Amino acid sequence: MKDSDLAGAAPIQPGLFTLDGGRMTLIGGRCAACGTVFFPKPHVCLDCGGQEVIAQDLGGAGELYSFTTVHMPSGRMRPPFSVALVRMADGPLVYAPLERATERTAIGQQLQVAPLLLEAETDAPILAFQFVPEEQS
Amino acid sequence: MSGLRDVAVIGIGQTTFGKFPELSFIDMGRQAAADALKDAGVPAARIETAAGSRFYSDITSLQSILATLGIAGIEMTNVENACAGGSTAVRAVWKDIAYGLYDIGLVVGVEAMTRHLTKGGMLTTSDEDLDAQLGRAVPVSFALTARRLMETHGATIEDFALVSAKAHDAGALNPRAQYRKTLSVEDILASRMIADPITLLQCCPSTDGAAALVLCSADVARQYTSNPIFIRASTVLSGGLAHAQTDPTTYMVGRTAAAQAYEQAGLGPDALDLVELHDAFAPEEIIHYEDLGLCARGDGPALLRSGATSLGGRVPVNPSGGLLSLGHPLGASGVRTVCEVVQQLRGDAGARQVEGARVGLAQMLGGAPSGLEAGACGIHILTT
Repeated sequence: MKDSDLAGAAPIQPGLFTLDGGRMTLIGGRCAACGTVFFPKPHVCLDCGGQEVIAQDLGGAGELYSFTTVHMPSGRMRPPFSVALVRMADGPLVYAPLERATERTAIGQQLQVAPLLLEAETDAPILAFQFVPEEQS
Repeated sequence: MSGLRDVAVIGIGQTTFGKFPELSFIDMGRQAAADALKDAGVPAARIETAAGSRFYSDITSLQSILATLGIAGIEMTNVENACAGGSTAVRAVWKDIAYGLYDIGLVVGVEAMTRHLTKGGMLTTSDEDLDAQLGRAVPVSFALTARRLMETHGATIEDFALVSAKAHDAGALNPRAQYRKTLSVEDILASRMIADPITLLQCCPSTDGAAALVLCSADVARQYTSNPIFIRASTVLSGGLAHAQTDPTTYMVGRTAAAQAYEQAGLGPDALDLVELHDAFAPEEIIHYEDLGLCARGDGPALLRSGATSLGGRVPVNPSGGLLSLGHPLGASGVRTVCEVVQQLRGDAGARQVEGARVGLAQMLGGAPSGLEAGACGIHILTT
């Protein structure tokens, strides 16, 4: 994937991630009052109701919590594709596509977030995020 | 629940479930509603309130159905709560009667899935939902949960297939079921992979069908029958927020709804003679065993393997065949599960009858949108 491909892509939703030289970081939110960390960043704290939720850099590293390989089309994904639940270092469990699971894929494995380009109805592709094994990132 | 009136079910109606592209939702809804009125012996003109459940909804579906029976000019409410929509419609009419607004009402759940554009596809939340765009259809969520059950509960893919084989054993005895045949664990595991470890025959089919109920106060029930079945508990709750869910192998809403229902009914899980629950995808049945308190946390796979939840066991689960074998017309199933419990408590369930059944529970879980552990959970407990 070339940086030029990424540059022309439209984020799937604003405020989910930052991309710097091909390196992706997820952006969550931390409640200023109770400290609970969320992904994506909510408008208000979903735990204590606090009105101030501050953008929080969640980094790109996480641990594989569960995964599956899907053999039907779903949403913008085309089969076969893998998806995962990933536990980020700051706590939130994140759902995301997983680079194709293999026999070596295992719960507890260390993963890294990476860009994912998806086909769109328009000319410009959609930029989303996925997880890949740490050594590949 | 002091101060509330007792609510009885005096009429049930259910179409045969299956693929009926020649039938509209109005055709099926009318048939189920007419059958429920006939079963109750209640004239259409007696109905004072009605609630309808349909997932793929048009404008005022319920009014269109009931107009064909000459029912109009009364309070009518259309609800959508994913697979718990039917439970929500039952509860709407239960509330109307329990709180004394009306004395008698009709519930209709219907779905014409074959005619819908998404036929053959996987159910998702909405085009705008972030997780859904990234592939998180409902069976995908349950596959992620199934993997956790294997990790934390020692569940195996054979266990998940056994849930489905059990459902098909019961459904083969139900003349209204979509499949009406037994399937072995081997058959189920050999079917096409959908989202590992979930194979095609661990997924409910797309189904056309409808179900209906006549509910009324205890006073009215005595005018029509000597054997009313009473709704002892009714609860519908939104799923909990996803960030608070520490373990996907249990639902906060599943445990809370069960606790509320048992408290309302004044009984516990040990009193249940049968359960109808949401088995749209086989692995989830094991979770619902635990959330409903049919066994201790962690013992779901052992309960399944023991045969306790099979027909003839201690507490048969889904004696109807469940969503896996009977079929799952989305908006109808929450009404249909109550129909099945009533039929069982009347002793009218034929070859799939649970002997001596006096207490039954009907549960539905619906939806898996981003940000929530589930869309909704509805539970009703009924007794003779």
